[in-house]
Amino acid sequence: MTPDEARALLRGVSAFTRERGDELWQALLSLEDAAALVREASRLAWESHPRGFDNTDLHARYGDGIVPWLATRLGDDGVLRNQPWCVVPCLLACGSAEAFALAWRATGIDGITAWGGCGDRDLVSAWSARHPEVALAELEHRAATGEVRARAYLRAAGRRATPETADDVLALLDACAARLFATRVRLAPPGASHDVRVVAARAGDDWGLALEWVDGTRPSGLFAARAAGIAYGSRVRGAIDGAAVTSRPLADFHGATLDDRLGPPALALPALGLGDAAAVVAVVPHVAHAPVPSQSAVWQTLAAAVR
Amino acid sequence: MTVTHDSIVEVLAGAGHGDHAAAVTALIQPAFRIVASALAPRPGHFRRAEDEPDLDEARLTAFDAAMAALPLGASRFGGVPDLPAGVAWPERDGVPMELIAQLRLADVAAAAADPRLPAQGSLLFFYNSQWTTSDQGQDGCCAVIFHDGPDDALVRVAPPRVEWKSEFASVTQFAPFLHGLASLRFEPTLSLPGGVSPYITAPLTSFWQDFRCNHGDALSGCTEPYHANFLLGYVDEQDYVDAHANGTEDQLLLQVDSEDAAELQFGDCNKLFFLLTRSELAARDFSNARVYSSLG
Repeated sequence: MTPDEARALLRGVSAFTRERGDELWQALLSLEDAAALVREASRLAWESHPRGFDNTDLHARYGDGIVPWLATRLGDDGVLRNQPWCVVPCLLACGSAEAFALAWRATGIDGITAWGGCGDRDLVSAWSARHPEVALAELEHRAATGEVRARAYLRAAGRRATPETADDVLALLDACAARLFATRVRLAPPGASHDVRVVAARAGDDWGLALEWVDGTRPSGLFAARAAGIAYGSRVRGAIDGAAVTSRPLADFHGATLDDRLGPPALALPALGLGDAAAVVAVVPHVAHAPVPSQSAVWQTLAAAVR
Repeated sequence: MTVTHDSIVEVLAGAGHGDHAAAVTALIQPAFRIVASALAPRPGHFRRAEDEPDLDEARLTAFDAAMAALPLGASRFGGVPDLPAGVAWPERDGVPMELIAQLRLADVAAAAADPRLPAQGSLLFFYNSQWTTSDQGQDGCCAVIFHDGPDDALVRVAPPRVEWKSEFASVTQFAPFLHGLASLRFEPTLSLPGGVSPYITAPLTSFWQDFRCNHGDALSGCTEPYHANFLLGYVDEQDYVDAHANGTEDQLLLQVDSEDAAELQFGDCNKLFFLLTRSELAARDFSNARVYSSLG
């Protein structure tokens, strides 16, 4: 199909429909350049999809010039509409800073992302895995201009400062809360809970935050209640660099208060790996964050206390 | 049903393949049938469901009591492992694996001496059946631990408890998943390759798949479904997925069925097959063991 024929065919339609899908798709792939594609695709109502969940034909034909059309699929609510279902695969195929910027603006995805999509990863993580050099440059630029979310992605990418600042501590917590790490283990601090305790400690340039709660209802046996938790810190090596699931026996199952049951704060220190020089600098009985720890006054205070 | 050299030849002749008796009997491998007896059901479903807790209090009590009555190192399917001192509970990506089987090798040796296996010590088999079945055969999908020491050097470990999310699950789950508990008994038997297997070459390929399918019960001695548990021998299913990555150098170490006695359930009533190479087995190197479920 020549560009003239494609334009003529598309001129007569206002929607991409299933009945004419193959014909319209061929026309969209036969335009003279990316600008023409953006023009035509942006005015169409996308009632159906091209063939193939992982269809990246548009990117193969026009390259990153299709990003302006992909951007039209981003709603005012920040959700990227994966309708047609080639939107996310094409965005992941685009490797430009402009494409990263679109992924960065998207707060979620609506629609099927099956084989060509993100799987169980968020869009920025999936995009960054495809184009790590561009992603790191963009994230570092954003982090330098004060975007805390970018610090969280950099932390998840293994970019850890030495020594870490309070902002670095919060970046780790944010990355855990947003599940940016490539682990299936839940390392997120709770959104809000009164039934937990946080022990903050430091040793020289090293730091640690031990989040603990009582898990279980049985006083003894293989399933005896225990002090379960998550350890965050510069010396913690668990499911990820900096965070690990922890578990230890309770100090006193029958204790009257949470502190009695969990025992002295020093019991939480071994999980932080700080050694004999560790000093407890704060203990708090309640944490909360919404939507991420870096926006929580409690976590901000704790981060400052350990740095 | 006992499988013997003669019974195999008889089945072969009855099916009209008596001419191939020499070739078939040359393939016979000694193996051990594993007979499981239920001790306790699994203590919960280990999923974060809103309608009920993931652990069942009554089942926990029964499970705890059954484990307490089980001697250190005792052979079992499911339950909680007795790990060698200092050995951490195996995990994958931070998610603790579940114990599939713990085998006391002296129990096996008491049934029949087999030079392929150590006569003493323990073998522990771990896997994560909640994960998916899409990436079996990859590194780190299972763990086989060999404890080359006495039972009293083992340590019964309280299970960790890690909340995690599988790629295809709608709710978070708790790991390790604990299966029900079953005691084990070992019986010597004989084994022949499955219908599709690198061990089957011409001229057996002309009839073996159909023959193995039509006479599976008589050849394996398994008359009821979901109890086809074997130590050593051959994979008894058709290998359509190239589980035998090293051809005939690969050796089945353990086959575990979706055995009711321990409430084991792998996929849709599938089996688990732990494989390694013959040279790895001879060297007592279990670090590269692989696990497969449905083979096609």
